[in-house]
Amino acid sequence: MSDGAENVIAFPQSKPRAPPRPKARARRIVAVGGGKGGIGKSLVSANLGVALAQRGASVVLIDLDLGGANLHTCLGVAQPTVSLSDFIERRVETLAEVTVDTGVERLKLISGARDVLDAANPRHAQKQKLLRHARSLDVDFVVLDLGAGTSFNVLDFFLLADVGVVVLLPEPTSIENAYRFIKAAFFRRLQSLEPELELEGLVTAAFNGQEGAPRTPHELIEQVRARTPAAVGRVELAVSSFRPHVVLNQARTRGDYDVGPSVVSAWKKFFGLELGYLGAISHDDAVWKTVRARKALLVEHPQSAAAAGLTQVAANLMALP
Amino acid sequence: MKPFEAQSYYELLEIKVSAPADEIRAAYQRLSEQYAEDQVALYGLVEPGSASALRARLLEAMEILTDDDLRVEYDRELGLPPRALARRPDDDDEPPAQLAMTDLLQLADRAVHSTHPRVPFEYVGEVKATSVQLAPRELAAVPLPPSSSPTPAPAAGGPPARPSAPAAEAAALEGEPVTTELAPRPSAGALGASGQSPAAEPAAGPDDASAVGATAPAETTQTFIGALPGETLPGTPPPEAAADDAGTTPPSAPAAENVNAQPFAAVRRSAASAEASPPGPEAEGSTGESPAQAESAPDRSAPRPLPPLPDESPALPRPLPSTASVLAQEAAIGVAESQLARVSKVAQANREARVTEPEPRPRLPELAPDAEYNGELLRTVRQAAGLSLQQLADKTRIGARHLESVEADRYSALPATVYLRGILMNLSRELGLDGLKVSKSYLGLVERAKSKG
Repeated sequence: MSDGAENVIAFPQSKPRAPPRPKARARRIVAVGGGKGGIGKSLVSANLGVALAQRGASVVLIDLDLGGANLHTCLGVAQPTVSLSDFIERRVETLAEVTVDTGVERLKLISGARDVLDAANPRHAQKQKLLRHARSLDVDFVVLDLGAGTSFNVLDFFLLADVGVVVLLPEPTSIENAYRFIKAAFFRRLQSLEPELELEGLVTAAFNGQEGAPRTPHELIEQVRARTPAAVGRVELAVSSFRPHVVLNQARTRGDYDVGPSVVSAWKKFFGLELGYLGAISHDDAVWKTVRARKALLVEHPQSAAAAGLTQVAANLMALP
Repeated sequence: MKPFEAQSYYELLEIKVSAPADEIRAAYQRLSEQYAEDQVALYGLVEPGSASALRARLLEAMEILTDDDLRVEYDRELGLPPRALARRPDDDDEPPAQLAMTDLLQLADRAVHSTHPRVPFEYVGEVKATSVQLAPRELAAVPLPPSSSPTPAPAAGGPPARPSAPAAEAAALEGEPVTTELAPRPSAGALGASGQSPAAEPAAGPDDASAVGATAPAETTQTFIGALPGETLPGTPPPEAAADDAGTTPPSAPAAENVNAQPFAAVRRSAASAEASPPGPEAEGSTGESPAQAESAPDRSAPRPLPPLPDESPALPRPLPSTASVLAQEAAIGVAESQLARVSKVAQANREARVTEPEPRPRLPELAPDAEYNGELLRTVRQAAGLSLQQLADKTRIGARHLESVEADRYSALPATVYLRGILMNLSRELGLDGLKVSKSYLGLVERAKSKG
C-alpha cells in the first residue's frame, strides 16, 4: 500500500524532547519472545514500539506471530489489507510495500501473515530473505513480535535479532518456559554458528533431554571441550555474545520486581552466562482496558504505571551499547 | 562461563575482593534469600538439589571470607596480589610492607617445608631467619602477632598436669608482654617487640636454641607449646632451662624467638610445657625430644612418643587459630600455617609413633573445642551419627570416593585445597561440626603431609 519513499522515516534531529534522549541507533533489530503464550509479548512489542517512537526513534513493528498475528489489534489498527503474507509469497518486492501507518508518529506496522497455510513454517530461505529485508529498512528500530513456543522458527528470528527480549511473568509457568526458551535459543545458536562442529547430535539430545545429554549450557560446552578441544575457543566466543534481555511483565508485589534481576543473577550463577535486564512493567488495569478498547496503552494511558515501566524499558533498550 | 561451582568466593558473593566483612555478610544475606528454596526465579532453572548446593557454597564463602586468617589464606590461593590482603581501609597506605611480608613468609614457607618438614616451630624460626636476610625490620613486624586472642587453653589446668605450676605463671607473664607489643602492630611495634622480649637479643643464643628445639619436639601439643612461650616469653626462668638443652644454638635463634613467642604466648599451657621440655623428665620422652630436635629437628620423628597426648588430644586445648588473627593483618599467613603445622604434627606423631592412636571415639560429645580433625576422627563422627559413607555422600553431594579419601587421610588423592575446604565445610555441616575448625585442622594435616612428602 505504501510506496518505498513513505517508509523512509527521517529521525527528527531537532525536535525538543526529553534531555537524556540518547541517539537512536540505526537499524537495530529487537526480537520479543518468551516461550509461553499469553504473557504479553504482543502488548510489550506494540507499546515498546510506541515508546521508542515517542522518544524520537523511527520504528517498524513486524508481527512474526505467524498464524496468530494480532499486533494490529493491540495498536488499534484495522486489519491491514496487506501483510507479511504478500511479501512471503512474492506478491510484493519489498517489506516497505506492506508497511502501514499506526496513527503514532514514526511508528509503522507490518501485519502478520494470515490465512496462509504454512505461513507458520516458512522455509529457511524465506526467513533469511525476510530478515535481510528487515535489516534494510531505513529505520532506527525494527521490533519483531515473536510467537509462543520454542520452534526453530521462533528461535531463529530471536537469534538473528540484535537484541533478544525475553518477556516473563513472575509465575512458575512463565519462568519455567522462559528458561526453556533461553536454553533452547542457546543450543540453537551454538548449532547454527558452528555447523562444522556437528553439534546436531548433542543439541538434539539436549533438546530432547536424553540420558547423558547436556542439560545446561555449561554442560554442553564441557562436552564440546571433551570432543573437540580445538573448537572450545570459538564456541566460547559465540556463547559470550549470546545475551538475551529480560523484561518482567505484570509485577504486582514488591517481590515481583525482584524476579527479573533474580533470574539474571541465577542464570549467571548456575550457568556462568550473562543475561541483560531491561526493567519491569507493573500489573495495571489500564492494560486490559486499553486492549479491550483496542488502543495502545502508551497512547491511551501514558500516565499509567504500566506505561511508565514500558517507557523505562524503551529507554534502557535505546541505551544499550 | 563459570557455573557457581567454579566461581571464587568473591564471584559467588558478587563482591569485590576488597569488600569488608560487613559487606560480605550483607551480600550473603541478600543472596541466600534470593536463592531460597521457594524462589520463583529458580523455577525450572536447575534441578532441585542445585539451589541447596549453591546456598551451601554461599555459606561457605561467607564463613571463609569473614574469617581473617582464612581469608588471607584463600586470597593467596587465588593468587590475589598482596594488596588484596589488606583488610582494613587504612591498610591501603602500607601495601609495600605487606607485600614484603607476604613474600618473606612464602619464602620461609618454602624453605621450611623443604628442609625441616617435621619441625613445626622451625617454620616460624625460619621465617625470621629469612626475613632477617631480606628485610630485618619487617621481620620484627612479623613476630608481633596479636596474641590478643589467647585462647586460654583449658588445658592449662587439666592435661598439662605434668608441667609445673611455675611454668604456667611464667606463661601468663609472657603472655601479657607479648600482647602489649602486639598492640602497636605497625612495623615500629615489631621492632619494639623484639627489643622487649628479653631473650630475643641478648640471651638469644642459648634461649633461642632451646626455643627452637622445644618447638620441634612439640609433637606433643603441650610440650611444644610450652617450649615456645618459655623461650620467647620474657619469662626469664624458662629460657634458661631451654638454654641448657640448646647448647647448640641455631644461627637464626634470636629472631626466631620473637616470632615463636608471640603466637603462642597466649597459650598458658605452653609455659608449662616449656619447663617440661628442658628437664625432659616427665612424660614420655616428649621433653627429651624437644631439646635434641631443636637444632636437628627435621629427622627426629622417632622421639615422638607422645603417647599421653592421643588420649587427651581430643580434650586437649590447643592454641586456637584465633591467636594468629593479628598476624593475619601484618602477615597472618605465617602464624596460621605454623599453628596448623603444629596440629598436623601432633597428628602425625600420633600416627607415626602409633603410640596412642586417636582413640576411637564413639561419641561426638567427647569432641573438645580444639580437637584435631583427622580422617579417622571424621569417620568416627560419621559412624556415631549412624551414617554410611554412601549416605553421607548422598546428603552432601560429595563423591563417596572423596569422602573415603578424606577419612583415610589419603591426602594425595584429594582435590586442591580450594575444593577440599569446600568438601570439609560441607561434610562438617552435615555432621554437625564446626566447618571452619574442621577444615582448618584437616587442611593443616594435609599441608604438613605435603611439605613432608
